[in-house]
Amino acid sequence: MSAILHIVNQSPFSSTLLKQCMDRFNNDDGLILLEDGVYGAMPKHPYAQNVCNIKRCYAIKNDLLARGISLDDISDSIQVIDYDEFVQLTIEFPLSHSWY
Amino acid sequence: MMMAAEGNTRTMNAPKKLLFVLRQAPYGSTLAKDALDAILATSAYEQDLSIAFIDDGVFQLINNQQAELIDQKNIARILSALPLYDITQLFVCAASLAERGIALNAISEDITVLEPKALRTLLSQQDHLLSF
Repeated sequence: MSAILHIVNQSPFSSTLLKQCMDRFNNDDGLILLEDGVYGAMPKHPYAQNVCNIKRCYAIKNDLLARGISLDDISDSIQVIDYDEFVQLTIEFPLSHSWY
Repeated sequence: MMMAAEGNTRTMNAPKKLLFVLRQAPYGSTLAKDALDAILATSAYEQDLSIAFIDDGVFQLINNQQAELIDQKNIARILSALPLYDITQLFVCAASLAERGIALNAISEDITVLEPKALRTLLSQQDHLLSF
């Protein structure tokens, strides 16, 4: 079994994409929230608890800041990363899957 | 660039496990058709190719589509021809079917129905995932 890096780019408030991803998530998988997906880093949405339970969850810093989401306001379990770290993660994980 | 190409020579010979993940309904966008084009093109390269229909992608499988009424090619009919191209590993998400109220007898019987756990395993066993 290979770990998968899941990449989600839509808001959990307007789309069920994050839920659809969570439904297929293995324990050792990783999640990257980018573009409108970073709204999934906020603590109050239907799947926030699922996101908090993920060991390796990341959100793109520029996408958070561009949307006025303060880094203090996101769930503690989420790691804020830049684009270089994003690229590094896609290399580190044997598999990537973009949800869009 | 040359070095990268040479470095890949050995691994390119062994077939890779490729899973096409189809998540969109058949006619709302061109993605379903684009996926089929990509699948048929890939089938020429003798890889270990399989297809998973999940979320709205399960709508592609419904029998009795009359796509000609909206001037489209019938996706289900193209899918039923995949065995001619030696593409026989077709999987569908049981939960996605159930959520949409689609009965098993409403889709082709040549497709393996997977419960969520089996589907997660299928995803994690691939060399590459291609999302459409």
